[in-house]
Amino acid sequence: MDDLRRVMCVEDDPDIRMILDFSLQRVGGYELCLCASGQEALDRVDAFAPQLVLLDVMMPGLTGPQTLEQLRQRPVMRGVPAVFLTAKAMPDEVEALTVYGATGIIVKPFDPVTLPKDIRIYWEHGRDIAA
Amino acid sequence: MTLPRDPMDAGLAAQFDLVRKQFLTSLARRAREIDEAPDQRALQAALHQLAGAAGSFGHPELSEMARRAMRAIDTGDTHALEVALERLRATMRALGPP
Repeated sequence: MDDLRRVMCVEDDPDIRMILDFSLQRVGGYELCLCASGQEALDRVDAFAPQLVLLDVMMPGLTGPQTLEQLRQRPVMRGVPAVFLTAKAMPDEVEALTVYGATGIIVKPFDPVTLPKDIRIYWEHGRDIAA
Repeated sequence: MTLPRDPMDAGLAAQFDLVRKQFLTSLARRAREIDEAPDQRALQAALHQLAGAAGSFGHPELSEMARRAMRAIDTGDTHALEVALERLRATMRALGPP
């Protein structure tokens, strides 16, 4: 059985990318593809073949939901769980984001120590849904 | 669900300290983005970014102050916004590099 190794993160804030790198690569031991924009994610997704995608919601250019919509058209993204990162977590927004096919929502600010375990839970849940 | 906090080993703790210091150096830029925001949309965006970031670097008080300012914008309370921004600026100045 495969395990979660490759995680793609799409986040425009350089500080958040820095803490994602620390959390997921150094604490969690995952192989990371850190993208500063939705377009960069679209450019790199085929080569990286992520097993899970984390996306910021509010980004200039392509938003998180717009990026996910385009990523979902790629064969390499078939069955890959996606999780939104958002600083807003009002119930209506959470519901709206799940409509875009996200497995879950992680609220910012997140705990960099527990994030690696949190995303694994979403990955396992997403695999169950895809199975 | 809240997962138990894992203890960080010494090496990771040292790396986290470096990451936190890098974040603190970004506070001057963030303060400029807040002060020089051309409109409320840009101000909301700058506050939103700060609210989403600061807590992950061990500064939940900054996240809360930024959220308070965002709520004041949402409710149109200009006095509350001024108070919240002043507290935010003072805290960012105190935390940021000299």
